[in-house]
Amino acid sequence: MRIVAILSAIAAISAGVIVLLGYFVSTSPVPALRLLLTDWAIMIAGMAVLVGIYNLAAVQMEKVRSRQKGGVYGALLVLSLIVTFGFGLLLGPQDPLMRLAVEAIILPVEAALMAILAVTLIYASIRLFQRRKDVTSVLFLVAALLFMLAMMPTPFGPVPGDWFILLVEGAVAEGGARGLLIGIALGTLLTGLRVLFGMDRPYGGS
Amino acid sequence: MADIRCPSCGKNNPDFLDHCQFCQSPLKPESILRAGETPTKKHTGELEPVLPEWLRDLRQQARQSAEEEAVQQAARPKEQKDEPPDLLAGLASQAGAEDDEIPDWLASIGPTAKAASETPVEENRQSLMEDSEDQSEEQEEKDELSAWLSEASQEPSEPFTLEPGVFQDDPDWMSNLGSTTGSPGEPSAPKEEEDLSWLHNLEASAKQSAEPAEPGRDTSRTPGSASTQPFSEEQDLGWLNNLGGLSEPAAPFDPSGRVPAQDQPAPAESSAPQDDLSWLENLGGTEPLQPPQSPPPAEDLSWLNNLAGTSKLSQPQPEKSSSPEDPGWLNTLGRTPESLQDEPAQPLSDTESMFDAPDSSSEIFSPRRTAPLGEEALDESLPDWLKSATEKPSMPPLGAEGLDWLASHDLDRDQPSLTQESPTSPPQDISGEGEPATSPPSDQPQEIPVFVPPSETTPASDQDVDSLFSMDMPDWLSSPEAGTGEDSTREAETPPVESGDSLAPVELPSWVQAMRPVEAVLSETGPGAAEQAPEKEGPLAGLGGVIPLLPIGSTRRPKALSLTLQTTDEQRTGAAILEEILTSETSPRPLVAPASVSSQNILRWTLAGVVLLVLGLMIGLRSQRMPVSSALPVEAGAASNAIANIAEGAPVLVIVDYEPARAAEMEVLGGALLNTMVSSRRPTLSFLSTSPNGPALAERLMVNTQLNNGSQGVQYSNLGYLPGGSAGVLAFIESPQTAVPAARIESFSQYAAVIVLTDHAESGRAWVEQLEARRQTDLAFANQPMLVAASAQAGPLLQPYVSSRQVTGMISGLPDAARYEAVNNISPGIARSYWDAFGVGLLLAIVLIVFGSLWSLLMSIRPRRAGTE
Repeated sequence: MRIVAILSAIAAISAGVIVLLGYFVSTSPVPALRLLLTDWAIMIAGMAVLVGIYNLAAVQMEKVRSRQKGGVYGALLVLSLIVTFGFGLLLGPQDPLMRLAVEAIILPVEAALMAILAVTLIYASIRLFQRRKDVTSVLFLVAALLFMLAMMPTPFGPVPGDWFILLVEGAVAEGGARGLLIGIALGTLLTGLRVLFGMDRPYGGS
Repeated sequence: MADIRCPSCGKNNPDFLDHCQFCQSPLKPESILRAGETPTKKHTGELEPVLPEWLRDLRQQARQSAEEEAVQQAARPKEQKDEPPDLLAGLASQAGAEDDEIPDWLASIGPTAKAASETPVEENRQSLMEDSEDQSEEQEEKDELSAWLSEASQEPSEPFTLEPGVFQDDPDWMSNLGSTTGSPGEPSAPKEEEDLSWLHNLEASAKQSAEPAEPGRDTSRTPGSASTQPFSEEQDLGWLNNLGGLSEPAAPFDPSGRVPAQDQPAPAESSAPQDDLSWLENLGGTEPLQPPQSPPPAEDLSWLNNLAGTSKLSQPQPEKSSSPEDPGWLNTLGRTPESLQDEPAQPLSDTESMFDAPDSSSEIFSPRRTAPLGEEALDESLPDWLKSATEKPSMPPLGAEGLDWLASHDLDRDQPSLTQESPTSPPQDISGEGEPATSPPSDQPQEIPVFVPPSETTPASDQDVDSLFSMDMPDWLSSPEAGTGEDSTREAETPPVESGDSLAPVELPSWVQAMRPVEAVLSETGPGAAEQAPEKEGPLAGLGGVIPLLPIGSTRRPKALSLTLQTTDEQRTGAAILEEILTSETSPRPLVAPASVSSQNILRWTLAGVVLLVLGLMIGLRSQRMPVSSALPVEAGAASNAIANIAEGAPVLVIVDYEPARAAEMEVLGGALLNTMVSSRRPTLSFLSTSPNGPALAERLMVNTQLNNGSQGVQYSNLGYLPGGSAGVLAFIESPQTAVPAARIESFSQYAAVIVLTDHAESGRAWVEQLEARRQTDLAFANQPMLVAASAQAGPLLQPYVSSRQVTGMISGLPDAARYEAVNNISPGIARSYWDAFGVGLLLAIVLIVFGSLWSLLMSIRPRRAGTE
């Protein structure tokens, strides 16, 4: 186990260093190695999707075999998976059956969830003052209402002063977004360095 | 200095030594006195200056006391006991006299004390046989001694040993002795015997000093024996003779010329230091096993005899035996001086003739004249290493200082008896009773009473001398515990030992005191507890009243303590509360069945119904009454300009990266851009998705936006799913055909524009960052516009990239799409169809949130008011 961990660390750090050098060094064979490693990463990610699908099917089949509660739904899921996979593999995404599967099943389900989300957000906003009555709650509700008012089309045209609202909201939103992106970048950089230095070993062997 | 290799142990020894300093074996053949050989007389008196000062003082005191006692007892008639005639009685008395004084601790002398040669034994035996014929007067007494010796021989610790050859010629008593001797092969047996004699003679000399009527017993051969001992240990007999009160000068041994006492000074001198060390150790009590101390007592007897016999000491009898073990001299103990004087006509053997020197110089044997050699002579004769020994005694002088030293060595109980007896009876100190005085440093003071029978505590008399050789003497030796019993009785008589003397009072630790609960009980048991004598032995020694006289609890039992926990009311209350809490925690709570219809559920259902009803109504009515603003945002205008700059028929990459849940919003945004592009530039679209549902959503987009109908003749290709996230994006940017084999272009830069349709800021950020990095290294990507159609949720997060111009243009949300359609006159206008419902829906949401929040606020205030009222 100790040797495996060491080898895993060596492989991960080497791959990270090579890919990182590929951004700054254009001399051969660094770019080729970076491309090769990236392709390996794509293939591994694709296989990971397949492994995930296989795991899902196996879990559901175990439920069916052991006659657990909800096993019927598991059987239905596995059956739908096989049919969809077969159609998609044989007919392709342009086939009307595949389009029917997407438009009749996938889109309505997820769209319904978004609709429920809209109702839930309205409900949560109504009950916000029942849960907590503080300044932040008031600010949150006021900002949401103003933004909706600014975006809301009216029969009479835009709301007066919508540009100001959108300007303020846009500035605030852009500032917050920049802060988030900078934080994400720093976090990604730090995480990458820790992985390169072997301090973090998400691949195991810690 | 040449070394002599010991034939026994093989170790090297200095050449001046006659015996091996390791195994005490004779080193030189001439030092071994064999049967029939004439022993060599050696003078050891010259070593007296080497003695420590306290020992010399002691010897001087002994001399003085011997003289006094001799004068006092000169007139006393000698009481002769009627002893059965036995030729070997004298021999037995000799052996018994030597063995009587042997305590157990001396009997346990190690084998080093037994190192002796065969010669003394044989000489003793020879002289014994010769003397035994003439000792008819002492038969009765010697019978007793022989009997006692027979008893003493039963003692396994008897140190008296003889050589194997001795038993062949020994008489009966010798056979008895032989039963007690050690193994024949042990050469150290004679030495141990010498120790016994020495100890015995210490006692006997003192007694004889007080009994001058026994000149006959003073064979005065003791000096000769000491000098004739071939061993170095024997040479110490000289100074030990001096210890007995007599010192023999070196001159008396010379006149005959047959005794090369001075001819062999080197061995005597060389052995002296060892002897000194040995007796010093014995005096200290740490090592009483040294054999050199044994010979001197025999010499002590001689000087005592000489003291008693005065001028009659010139008889040759004592010189017959050269060794102190020789019981022959005991044959003359019972003789009167006259009888002894009549006997010189007997022919002398070689051994006897060897001791003629003392006869010719009887005066020399007087105690006063046996002073040690002068310092000059000593300096000349003593070697350097021995001189160093004379400079500073290794032990404190015996006297007041010595006693003090003893007192400081935990001799508290025995020392008083010594100090009391020593001034009153100096001869006893020199004798066996005085053994503690002669060896005060002994660490075994409790053994001293073994040599001090109660009868001997009285001043020396004829009875003492008789008792010394009587059968009664060995009784205490056979039962050495009697001495200890005396000690115990003496201790019992003495007041309790003060804690300051024997046991230093210390303050007991608290935990030890706590372990003595009986004190409380003892104090109540009665007054006897306080009066109880302190313990004398064991760990409680010195403590009184620890062990109750009466059984504990026999009279009064300790007060019974209640086992009930005494608590206060407050503690009981707290305990009750805690118990109640614990009970409530463990007791099951009844489940409160939720109401099937609650106000919250009603509110939810009401909200859902209102939203569905309003929006459905607006969608069903297909109302388009709400106006759309024609003012495009900056980023939307930039996107429109970028699309206008795309070359006609150029390949355009469309990234479909959104979920089916937001397909409606994204199709509105994508449809606005793609319709504008297709209608104006007719590009070749390539759809690539980083989401598994992307390919299907791409087909749906083409259908819903009516881009795939034959009227527009749009050519597109669905490249499918690109796994790997950022890595997949990088790989596709690096080499599209490598990442996606279905790609028709070789380089990513061949795409005229890249349109990203995303509802996630993360996926849009990945494309932006990877493509921007490529742009910085490859100028071919510099003119490649990147347009983003983001949902209203992801638009604000991607707005920074638009502001930094990493994204050429962006359309975000339904309002931008509606405006973009309105500006570009895009049909069929999906955004416009949703616009009224969007506006009504937002208005409804605002109204519901406002009124709902106010109602919630009122509902939360009412309970407070009710509570306050």
